[in-house]
Amino acid sequence: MIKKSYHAFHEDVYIIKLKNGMQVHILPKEDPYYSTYVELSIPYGALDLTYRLGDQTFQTPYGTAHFLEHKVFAMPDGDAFTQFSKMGVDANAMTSYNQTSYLFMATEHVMEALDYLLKMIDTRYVTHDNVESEKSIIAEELKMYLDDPNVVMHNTLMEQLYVNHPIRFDIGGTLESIMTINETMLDHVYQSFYQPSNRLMVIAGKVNLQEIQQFFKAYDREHPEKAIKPQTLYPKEPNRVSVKYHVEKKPIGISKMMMGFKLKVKKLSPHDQIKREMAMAMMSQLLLGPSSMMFESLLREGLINQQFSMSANIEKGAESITLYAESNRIQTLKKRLITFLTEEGEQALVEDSFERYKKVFLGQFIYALNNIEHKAYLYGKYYHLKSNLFDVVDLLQEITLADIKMIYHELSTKNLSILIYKKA
Amino acid sequence: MITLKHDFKTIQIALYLIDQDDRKYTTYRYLLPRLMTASTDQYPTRQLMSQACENLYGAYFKVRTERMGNLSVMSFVLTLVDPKIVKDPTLFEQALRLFDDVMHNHKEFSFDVFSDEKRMLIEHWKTLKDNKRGYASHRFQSLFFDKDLYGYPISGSLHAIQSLKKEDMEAYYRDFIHHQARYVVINGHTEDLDLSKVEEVLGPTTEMIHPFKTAFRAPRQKEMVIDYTDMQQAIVKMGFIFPIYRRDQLYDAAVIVDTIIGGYPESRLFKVIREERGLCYDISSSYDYYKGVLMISSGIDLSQVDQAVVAIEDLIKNLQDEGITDEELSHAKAYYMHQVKSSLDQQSVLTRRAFVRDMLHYVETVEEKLIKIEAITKEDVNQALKHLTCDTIYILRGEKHD
Repeated sequence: MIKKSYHAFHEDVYIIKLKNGMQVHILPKEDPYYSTYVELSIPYGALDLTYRLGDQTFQTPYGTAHFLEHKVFAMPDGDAFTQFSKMGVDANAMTSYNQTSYLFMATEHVMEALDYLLKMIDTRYVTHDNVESEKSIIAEELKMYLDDPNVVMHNTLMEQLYVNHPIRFDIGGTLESIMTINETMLDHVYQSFYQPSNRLMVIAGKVNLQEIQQFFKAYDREHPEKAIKPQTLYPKEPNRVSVKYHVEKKPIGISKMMMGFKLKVKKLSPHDQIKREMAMAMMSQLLLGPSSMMFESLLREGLINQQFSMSANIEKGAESITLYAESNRIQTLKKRLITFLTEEGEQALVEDSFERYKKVFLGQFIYALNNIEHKAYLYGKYYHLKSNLFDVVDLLQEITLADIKMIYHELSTKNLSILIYKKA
Repeated sequence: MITLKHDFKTIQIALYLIDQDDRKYTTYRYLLPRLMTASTDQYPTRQLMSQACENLYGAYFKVRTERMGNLSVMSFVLTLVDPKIVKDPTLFEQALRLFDDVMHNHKEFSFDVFSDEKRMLIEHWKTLKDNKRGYASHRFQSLFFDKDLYGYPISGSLHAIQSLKKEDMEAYYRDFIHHQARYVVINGHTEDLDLSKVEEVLGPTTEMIHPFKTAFRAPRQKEMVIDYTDMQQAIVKMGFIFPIYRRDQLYDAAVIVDTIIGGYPESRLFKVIREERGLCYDISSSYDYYKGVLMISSGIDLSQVDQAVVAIEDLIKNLQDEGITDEELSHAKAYYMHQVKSSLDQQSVLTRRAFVRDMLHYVETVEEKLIKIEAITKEDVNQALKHLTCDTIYILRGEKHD
């Protein structure tokens, strides 16, 4: 077991590397602390639709990763949730564009739940019948999102921004695509992606290090297999957007708009990629965050409300800056935002605001460390990006105002797509 | 002032102001904390106020107005990073000055900020129907709680918001502070900090003079209301009168009832309606122990909504007739105890809990609570179950009615 200390944040990390390639990272909290949070993540998400294994290429429908996440809870003796509940443990799972995570929070029976979590991941129980019965449940989940205009707008904007990239589709897939998923596909993606060498387990909170170490020694002996990792293939994506502008009339209370700038994906080292993601987020805040001059003006003129937001998104092979706004004068707002973001915005990128935002980011990082779930999630995210959560603060210090301005210059009407839902 | 010295990387300074819930002041009480934290005399615009918070390493105010029984509670919680971590020994004092500003430095409210807040609240109302789940909750609340204050929106009605004047708001601000019970909580590593100034800024604790009341109506004849809109699913909400309150003997058994019905993934609703019948993706229950009600909520496949409502009613009836199993009791108790213990690791929960305990004079320790949960019997739960009466069903659904 390797120990790493991060004195500035009063944090220690213990790392166990298993022979089968799986890694276990432990982030203990000192007593008095009651909860243990365990998250097992696999770098297989909604975007891993086409993959190569050996000399063969496999294609899967949209929503396969999310579907498999549902089915991993199916065990020959019943639903895994029931077993977790019996232990008084809160279990859950989530699928993002790039990873699938299985997690639980426990205050008792931690080792029992840990053992069961691994048993669940190691057990393949995908049958024709249980796949078919899951389809109606997932369909209801998708319909729930389809009743939310914000989700629908986000999905439509992604379709407008991208021509071929799988980010065009919802993480859960579509009502049509999930109907084509079958047990053979799920079995194959499970065997390809869920192998131990692809897994990271983060354990945070109240822990007994010795017990955990012994547990994984035994686990390693029983699970020695190491297999070839599949390689995800992405279709070639042009720089242009698929649809530049789309307006639809809808029976809604106020007009809504989403704008997206499709950024050219750069080949960067993992550290530079994380710096770019942070710089994109900082730029968004400097331009249109609540302390920006522009935000204040738009609010004062009654052009935006509290729903206004701007976000930076970096996924594998897809980078964008997106905005969401509601307004009674949507066309005026659209013009103001385009002019500001593509012509006048640089004047908002000044040194004192930039330095202030660095403090905010440092603060947000510390807030995140306060919550073991958030901390473990971020730890896993940066691990899969081949970095370390606690190095992020050093990377933050390396970002310069020039980096931010460089990203600003990537915003142009040429890579802009707009979607408007106009109040009917 | 209550001081909690838990091991967190942030410090919370919380102020709770309590008065009787009164429809006349609902909108004032909803908007006031928002206005007070949006700008001050020192930081007269929202932009300057945001910058002031950003300069404190992104310190932030979380303000909220909520109902607890017959009371209206306004909370102002300022969270800042532990000054030792960022090596800024003046951070706490600066944060306290900002809090002082928020509470006391408003000769008048900025017309612009007031107009923005009012406009945004009106726009929130106008877009309520766009958010199907939010709209269904609003409609259900007003039906189920009907003439009760709980049925009146926490922000006031659209009419009340539209008629709101800045001068009235200012008058309420100048006057309200004298009528409030007041509780202050500090939570975090404050060993090296001068806390005497907190009381100077936020005042000493002022106990509540109004009696705390938890009551609701008796069950009425069952009402079912269906609204139609353009949507893919049906949202079903069911309201049960469940007259067991926070201080009642059967309170913990009532929590177990909620857990077994729809409080976790091993609940009957989750297992039967979702897993066995495949009628929905989400289904859950929630128990309001200040009002003595239990509510079920689910998003259901349109073509099976009628079946689902019958299935849910049957499920509850079976549970009342046949009672719970030993296994259900033991799992629900384990889950309840886990919830109690894990909540002790969350700073915001601890801060709020300290205030509630102080205000309502709860003295039970966590250890006593866990022993009490362990002692709950099947008979307690089955007895609590008998108190459940469904009297309101609300459905928001797609598909036009003939």
